[in-house]
Amino acid sequence: MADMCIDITGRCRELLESITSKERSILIKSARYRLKHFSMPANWDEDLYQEATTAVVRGFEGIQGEGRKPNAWALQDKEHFCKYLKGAIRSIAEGWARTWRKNKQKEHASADLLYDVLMTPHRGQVEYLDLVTQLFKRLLERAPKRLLPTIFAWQDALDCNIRTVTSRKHVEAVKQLARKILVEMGAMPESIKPPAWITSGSKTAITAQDAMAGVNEPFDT
Amino acid sequence: MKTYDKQTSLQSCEHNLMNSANANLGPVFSASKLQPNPTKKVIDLGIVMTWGKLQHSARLYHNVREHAPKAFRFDFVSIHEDDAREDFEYQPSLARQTKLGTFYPLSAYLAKLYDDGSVNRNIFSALAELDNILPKECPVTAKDDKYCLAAAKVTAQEPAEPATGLLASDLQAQGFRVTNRMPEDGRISLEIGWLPKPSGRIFFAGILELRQTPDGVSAQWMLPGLCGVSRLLRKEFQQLCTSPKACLTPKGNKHAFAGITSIQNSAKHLDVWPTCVLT
Repeated sequence: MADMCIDITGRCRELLESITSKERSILIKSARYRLKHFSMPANWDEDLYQEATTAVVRGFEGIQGEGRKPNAWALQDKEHFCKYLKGAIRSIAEGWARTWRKNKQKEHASADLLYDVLMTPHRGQVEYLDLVTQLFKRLLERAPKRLLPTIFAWQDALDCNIRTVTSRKHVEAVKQLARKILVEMGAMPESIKPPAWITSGSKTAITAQDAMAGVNEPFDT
Repeated sequence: MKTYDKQTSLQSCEHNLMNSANANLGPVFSASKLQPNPTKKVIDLGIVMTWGKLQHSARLYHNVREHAPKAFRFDFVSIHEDDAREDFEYQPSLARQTKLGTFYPLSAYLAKLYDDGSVNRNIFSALAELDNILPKECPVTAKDDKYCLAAAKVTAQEPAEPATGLLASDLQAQGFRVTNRMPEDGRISLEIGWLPKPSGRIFFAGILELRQTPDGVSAQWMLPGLCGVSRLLRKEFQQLCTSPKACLTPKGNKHAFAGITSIQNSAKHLDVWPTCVLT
């Protein structure tokens, strides 16, 4: 099985490298017409072609759940491989044209209960004001020094839209710490359903506790 | 004297707008201190967009293309989900999910702000300012292709300056140009773009499909097109031109239909601007 995988990888790389300038320009032309079909700019053609080849390479490099894997039919000769690439181009162009609505996706994927807690309709009541006072008191006690400018800015304009004062990573860290404190205060449930995009695909599901534990972890993906 | 009066009245109008409760000024783009990049694939551009009595702001980021990290297009400019809480339509292919949240295409969010009436600045001046402040366009080229050996032999072509004199005078004066022409089966597709200045960045507006029939030229937009400022630009284009067939000059018609024979069936083409596009 391993030998077979190595063969497929080698064959794929060999076929990709052997594409001539003429074949490449035919594929790019097909990308251009595909883009036009979906009323997208024709000068994205090179980008679309390269996204298709990158997807094939990612597929044979074996990154779990990523890329495209050509079958034996596509690998029998270059003509079939070019047809396969053309299919990949068509499919990616269709994906590019697809649209989503932000909050509809959010409905399924939201794990941000911070918004629900702080945007409560009971704003202005004594309990709410006490909750906010306690939250910021504990935040300022526990936050590392680097997060303080972000917390002060948030305190000045209390909103769930925490402004980026120093870094986006600091905003996320403040959010995570605030969630943790709100859970401790009993204002927020402990278990949060992970977003759909985390549970699906190659990414492993994380629990809210995991997310909260990593206040100081690097966020680079 | 008249000019002075006009200026004064404009200033007072602006003053009233600033002080009115529902002032929807902006969007305004300004340079800001660079911040650490949220992730390796999302880079801070050091630009802040502000709108509404300056109480709303959003940082702009470059959503890096994985296979061409040096490439830069207006479509790659993104904003973070926390800065864009409203519901809007976007293309997920231009968004990026990271551990720090999702970054959405700026273009789609701008269209949302204009559609809602949350901003009132002329779209052309907003885009011109954005063009000045953003890094220079750097398209994905054959040089970025790491896998095909033949790509190294491909000679890079400088994008041609869009021809003038093809679109009606009002459209041309506003900055609209035909940026590409693609013939196909007796019909022709003209790509329409808007340029803030000659040789400037091209903001894609849409694709106009034209047919030459025995009765004349019929045309229509290819819809739905991209989510974003292209919808706003199409709206402006339609306001400057009464019907699709009036948008080309005789020279433009000649250029568009060079080598194309007229066809009998134009049933699909209504030759009126669709009303459902920009709702």
